[in-house]
Amino acid sequence: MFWTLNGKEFDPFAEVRQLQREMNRLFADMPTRSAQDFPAVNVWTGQNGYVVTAELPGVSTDELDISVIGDTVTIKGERRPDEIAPGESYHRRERGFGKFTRSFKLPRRVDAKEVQAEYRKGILKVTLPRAEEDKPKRIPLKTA
Amino acid sequence: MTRESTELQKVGTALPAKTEKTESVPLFTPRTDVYENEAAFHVVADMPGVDERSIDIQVDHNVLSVAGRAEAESFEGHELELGEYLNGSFVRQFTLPVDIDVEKIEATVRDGVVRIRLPKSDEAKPRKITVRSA
Repeated sequence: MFWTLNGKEFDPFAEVRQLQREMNRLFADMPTRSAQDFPAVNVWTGQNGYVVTAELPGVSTDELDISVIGDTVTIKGERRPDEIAPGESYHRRERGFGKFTRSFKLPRRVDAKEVQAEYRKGILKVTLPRAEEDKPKRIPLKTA
Repeated sequence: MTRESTELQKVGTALPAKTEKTESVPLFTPRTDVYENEAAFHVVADMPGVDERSIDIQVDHNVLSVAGRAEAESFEGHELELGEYLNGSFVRQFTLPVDIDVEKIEATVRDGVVRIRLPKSDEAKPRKITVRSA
């Protein structure tokens, strides 16, 4: 145990812990990319529903599977690697491939029957209208 | 889900030194495959959201430049609730190791993937030299 001149307990690691806290705070806002985060999505909210877009370049629509249960949307799929012919060799290979699944909960229920998906220019766009029974209802006032 | 899948995400980039972009749009380095066979080089670049009219491919003294632009998305009456990716420009340059027949370069874009075929010039193609016995 260390004591300082004024009799207080001296902690030699206080500075280190302070530094650690500062570093943690610094990195707390950094987006961490893990396998679960593919594909990257943008979620748009409107009065009557949601639009979800996902960056999925070079995926065959046959390999894409979108499902909606209640308020949960799941995008599943696979990106296949390019087949290269014998006699061809890679100089660099950065484009990844493999299976992916991404699920997320929307703030409100959506009408699964009315969901539409569209795939253009490597971007998947899913339009999800809010469920009819979940929409806000206007209550008419009666005057006596 | 495999580890490779994370490598599908596009990565941010900076322009080469001494140049500065004029518009304030985000800039990305497209993830690219390059492969070669006897006849040609193939460059395959992921550029999600890129419009085919915005794609610019140039070869200058064996330097291949590929650029493209994805327009910002917006949906009427909707607000962005969660944003994980941005739209912007893609830029990438490669130094090609052999002479390219610039006239015969072909490029296609489909589903956000740009494919460029760069045929080697005749001088650069491998030749078989027959050895005669004296």
